[in-house]
Amino acid sequence: MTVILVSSDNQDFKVDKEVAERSILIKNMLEDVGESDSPIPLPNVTAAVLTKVIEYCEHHRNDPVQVPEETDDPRKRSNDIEEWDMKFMQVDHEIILAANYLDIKPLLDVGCKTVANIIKGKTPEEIRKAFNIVNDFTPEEEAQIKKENEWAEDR
Amino acid sequence: MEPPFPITPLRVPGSLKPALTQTQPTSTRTPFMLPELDRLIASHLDRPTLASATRVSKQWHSIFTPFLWKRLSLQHLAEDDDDSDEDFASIPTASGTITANTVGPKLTLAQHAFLNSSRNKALKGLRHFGPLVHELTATGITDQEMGVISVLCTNLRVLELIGGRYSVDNLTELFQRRQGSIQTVRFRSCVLLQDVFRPLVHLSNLREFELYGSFVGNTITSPYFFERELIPMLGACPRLRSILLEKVYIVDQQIERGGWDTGGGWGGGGGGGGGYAALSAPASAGEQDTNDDANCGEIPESVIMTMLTYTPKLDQLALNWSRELTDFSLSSLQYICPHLTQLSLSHSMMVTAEGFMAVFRSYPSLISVDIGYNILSDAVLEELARSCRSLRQLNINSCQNVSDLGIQAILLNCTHLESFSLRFITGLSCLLFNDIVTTDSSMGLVSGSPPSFSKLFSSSPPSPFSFSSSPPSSLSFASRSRLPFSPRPWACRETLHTFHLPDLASPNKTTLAKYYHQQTLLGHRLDSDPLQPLRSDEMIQSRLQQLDKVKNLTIGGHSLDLTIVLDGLHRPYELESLRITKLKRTMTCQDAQWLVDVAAPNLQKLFIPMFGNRSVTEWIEARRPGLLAHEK
Repeated sequence: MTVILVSSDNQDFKVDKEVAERSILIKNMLEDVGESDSPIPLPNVTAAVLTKVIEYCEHHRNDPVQVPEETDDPRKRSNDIEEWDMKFMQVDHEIILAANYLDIKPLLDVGCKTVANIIKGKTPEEIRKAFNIVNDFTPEEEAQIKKENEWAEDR
Repeated sequence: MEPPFPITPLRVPGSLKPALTQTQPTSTRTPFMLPELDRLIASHLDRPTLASATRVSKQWHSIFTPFLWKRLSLQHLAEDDDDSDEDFASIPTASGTITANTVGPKLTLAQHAFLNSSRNKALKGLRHFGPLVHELTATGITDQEMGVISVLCTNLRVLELIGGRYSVDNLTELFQRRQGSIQTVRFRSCVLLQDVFRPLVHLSNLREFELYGSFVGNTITSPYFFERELIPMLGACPRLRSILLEKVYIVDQQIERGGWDTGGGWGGGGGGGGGYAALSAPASAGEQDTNDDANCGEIPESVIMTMLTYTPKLDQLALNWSRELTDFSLSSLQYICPHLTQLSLSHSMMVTAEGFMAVFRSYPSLISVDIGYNILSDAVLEELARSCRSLRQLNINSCQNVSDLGIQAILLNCTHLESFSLRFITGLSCLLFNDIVTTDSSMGLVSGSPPSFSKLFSSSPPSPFSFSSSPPSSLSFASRSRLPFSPRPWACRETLHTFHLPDLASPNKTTLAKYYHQQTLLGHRLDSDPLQPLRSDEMIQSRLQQLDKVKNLTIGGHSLDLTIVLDGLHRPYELESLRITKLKRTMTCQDAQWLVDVAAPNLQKLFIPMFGNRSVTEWIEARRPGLLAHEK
């Protein structure tokens, strides 16, 4: 069985129901609506992003549904990202937003890990460069913060 | 909840849409667009990275500073630590989230002076960021340092003290100040915690208390311990859900017999300490275990029971290693703590089979049961299967006087069983995979009456068993009924994910005799080959094939073949840990290759017998480093 997803720029995507239901948002929608052929509008996701998200869901269609493990203890989290996922995530940041909106936990998780990995081990200047951020501290302020948090910087 | 969907102001390297950043000012949003995403991302960062991130921009500073301080570990620094000791000026945070905390109001002058002279930067930082600290791990801190913490960490929720000695006065001060916020207190490897329970009465919000591996003076052995220390604490902390006292050592100042005896208890003989292991839930209180030593005293049954009366809402109770607990007190347990769902009574020497049965009868809603290392009987397990219909976890490791039939009763009847551990039980055989329950008391039990054949057929799952030798479906009814190949399915086949079996031996004669008797009663004519129905491989295989969810498995036996086990598993690729205790023949490299590459590619942990072929272990090490775990 297939469902039709409509992106914000009005493109239709025909997707296996099983694949589409990797998105909890869509899954809940389908459950609410019941059997219906009407297309599902996704006004927050562009066609370009939706293509990628569907690609992800296709690739992971057979994964067991992830039991959400609520831990924010960094020690318990692994930063391993599957190779396929890693390549995939290099593409776009918006996917994270889409994953959040569509409620696809594993994709969201991979996305956040990817961003975290970009930040990891970088100096502030390197981070600014990577994210195109303007440093709005005065030199004094920055020195101040550096001193404040020096205790934490020992590796 | 409809999360907004803002356009990202940021760009990941390699982004397809770099243009976005040009059109959007960078500071309009949080770095990762939604606060929830910030949290997710921050949770993947280590402390040095978080520290870097706070220096990126004002916005990043405001986002990441709370994460940086949320979990703090403080160590007492030696005095010779070289560093400049300039003080901080007030903090120039742009965001305003932190500015409110820049006053260090309640520090005394002495504390100010101490802080100013301290070389511990993290400690100094508390002056500004103390309120951000939610979890503090403090290693060997001094009284002075603790005083500062108690003033500055106004939102402390989890306090873990490692090492060091703490006085009642200091702890009292700390707990009084932070009485509303602290929810968890852990002491680890501390020394000289005299009267450690007393200060806890101030923590009205306490949910978890842990005392692990610490020396507590003779507080616990005092005859007044319960009355003066523990019980007032239970009364004062209504939200306490869990107390753990483990490996607590009692040092009697006069008799320095100084033992590091373990909480485990029996071993080691004359240790100077008693280990008290306890675990519990809503409303609190846990229990004890005692040790073989006259010095530390065993907690008398009457005291346990008295204590439990203060905790009527208890839902988890561990009374392991008790040498005092008797059937009688267990029988009154249901009136004292009627809500128990998790019960642990391992090593209960004085409790008899009847005692256990009475407990199970009185607690039909038990979910988790640990009765390892006891002398049971099959009747106990049958009672458990009959009474506790929602049982999920069962541990009967090393129990004595249990046979295949008792195990069958559990497997055939417990519909929700998820984890079943019966390691080290001797005398079990492949008969436990069968479905005939014949102990004398069991005839009335659900499983005791054999299902009618029509029911059997209708209720069989679509493709239940695939024996290589299974009879074609066209076989006549009569001939089929003679074959014991349609055993009643295990009730737990859809839920069981952890299954630890002992070494399987040959069926013992008593069990076999009962089995034949049962067969005769049922009108099954035994075939000329009496052992034919007991073809263990097929029996095991067919059972394992039904286990949809099994992830952790322990199995072994002198007549067991590896391929049988793994072929038997319905979805072996879901297997995550496998422990093989014994095999018919030694594993070869070929076996290993097949196991690791083909049969169970998702295996995370593998235990194989130590005596295995060395080249096999080496091969596995090379192929999948870290897969092989070694049993002690």
